Amino acid sequence: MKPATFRETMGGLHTWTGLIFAWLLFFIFVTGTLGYVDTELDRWMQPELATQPPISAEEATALAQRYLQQHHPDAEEWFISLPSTRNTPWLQVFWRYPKDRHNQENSEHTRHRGRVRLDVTTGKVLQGRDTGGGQWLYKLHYKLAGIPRDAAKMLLGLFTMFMLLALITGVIIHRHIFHDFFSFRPGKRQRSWLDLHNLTSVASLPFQLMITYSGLIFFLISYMPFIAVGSYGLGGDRLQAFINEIFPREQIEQQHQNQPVPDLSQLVANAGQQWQQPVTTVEVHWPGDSGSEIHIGGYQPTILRVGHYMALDASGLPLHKTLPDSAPVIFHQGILGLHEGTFAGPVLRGFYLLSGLLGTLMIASGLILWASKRRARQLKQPQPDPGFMLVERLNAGTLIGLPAAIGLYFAANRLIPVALENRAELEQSALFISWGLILLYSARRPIQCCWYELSLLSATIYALLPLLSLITVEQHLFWGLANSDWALVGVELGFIATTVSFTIIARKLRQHWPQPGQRTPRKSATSMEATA
Amino acid sequence: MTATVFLLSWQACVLLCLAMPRHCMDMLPGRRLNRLQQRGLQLLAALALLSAPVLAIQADGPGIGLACWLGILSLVIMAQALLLAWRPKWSLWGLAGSLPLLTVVQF
Repeated sequence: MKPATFRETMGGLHTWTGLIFAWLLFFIFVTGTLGYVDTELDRWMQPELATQPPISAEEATALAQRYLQQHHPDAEEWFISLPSTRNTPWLQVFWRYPKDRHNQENSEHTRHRGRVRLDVTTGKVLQGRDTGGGQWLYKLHYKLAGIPRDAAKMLLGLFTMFMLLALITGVIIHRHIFHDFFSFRPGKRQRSWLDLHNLTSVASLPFQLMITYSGLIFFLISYMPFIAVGSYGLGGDRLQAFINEIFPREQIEQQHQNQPVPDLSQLVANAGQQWQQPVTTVEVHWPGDSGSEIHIGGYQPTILRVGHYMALDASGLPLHKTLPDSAPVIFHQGILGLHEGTFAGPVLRGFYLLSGLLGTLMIASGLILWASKRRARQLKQPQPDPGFMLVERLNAGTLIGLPAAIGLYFAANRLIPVALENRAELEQSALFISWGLILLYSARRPIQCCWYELSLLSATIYALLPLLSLITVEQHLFWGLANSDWALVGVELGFIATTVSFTIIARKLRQHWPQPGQRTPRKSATSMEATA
Repeated sequence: MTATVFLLSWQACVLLCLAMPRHCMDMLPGRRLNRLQQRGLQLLAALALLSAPVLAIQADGPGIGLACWLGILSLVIMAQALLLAWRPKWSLWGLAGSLPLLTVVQF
């Protein structure tokens, strides 16, 4: 046998690592992409929340301070998130009590930490239905529900590393990257899938490289605990020393002397004036103590994860403190900031969404390409290989099944009664149970029917979602249009667009892949070739 | 400014495609461009392609500007490939129609 060339070796690596890791990567890409519209999905999943009129940062801070002073005067820390940008549409307050002496007598404080949303018109607590919302979906892409945290982290690292490998080998084996730059030849089966795979990858390659590489950087120290050994020595405490030096975290000590919290709204007004940018957060350590510290954060139009920052003492006088800004920290913040895209305005957010979708399409088309390359030969055999059939079935059950299951998660949000206990968990199990059922279904059903029927199912589910809103809640598409609630409208339109996409897919499948009917699978295989 | 960056990037794509014999046949059936014409188109495309990120950086700073430009590139590459597959002539009309727009669009 002739020894394989470098490109052939890389091709094998690309094909097989791609195949093995692709299904979970597809899951990560779908849920991660939805993360770029997490706040909008949150809004859709708690429709009963009253839309908030715009409010100045000072007024919002005053409301929050009044609430915290009244309900949590003894907390160790207050945190106020002001309604300022797309990422924080609500006024939210958080509190945390010291672990050891947390207040046992007062039943309201039995929880060590908590948070509520406040209605900016009344200052009262704003309560929506119990749901994991878009946040839960977004967190799935790195928490991988149901798996212990550390295991999930390691699994994620492994998959991300192979994703990076697949991207790099993919570039190496692409034969005519410039010649075929704009090539898409539809209706040519395997050729078309290869074109689509190449096109989606090449068009969004910078994004895919960035998102994969930065995904690894998130848990950098967990994946490479030995990076510090050279200068800091071996051992858990040495590693901690290294982490503390890069990301110093100082302890703020309580002085046990009463000193009322200054008027936070005034401090916020000053900060806003100084920065000429919206103030986003106010943090009070040891409120009501003379050792208290107030940290104010502001939006900064950069890709970094951190914005403006200002530290003040118990009486509101400035402390000369800055956030760590060494080159590695800035690099770290920049890379993570790029991954999360929290800085992105509506247009750039659209591009993030598009790039995520292209990544999802890239993985899906790669998987389909693998099967498509082998299909004709496999179907000529009296019995297709079990491995091939496994790929075919997992493809149908995941590439079409997962979006359908996510649609059912949204449907559960509208169908499960609002008053029901544990409804958030029920919504979440709706996703996994339905995905499990769909996988079972695709394991049993003839594969030709599977793709078509599942696409039809997805189209139906997403078509029902706006209707379910219309029936079950007051805040439906038309309400959103009338009240300019664009987040809600956007999500509803997204569902309609998904319906249209799956309908087109189903139609194409029907045209190009005739249903078996009375014919045997073998015959349908030959008719498949005839239509191609 | 985003609109200008978008137009420039897309026009660069169309020009590049015109310089490629296969796509040129799709857009202008029966027409073959000579080597000089192809080089000229590529030069124009390079100009447009390089001025787009400069404008984007001027508008939004290096971080957000470049991120935005890369997003726009993904969009125009996909759009151009799909146009070539189904409506090849539209990209030519689009190019002709959008050139004068460059002088007005500024947001």
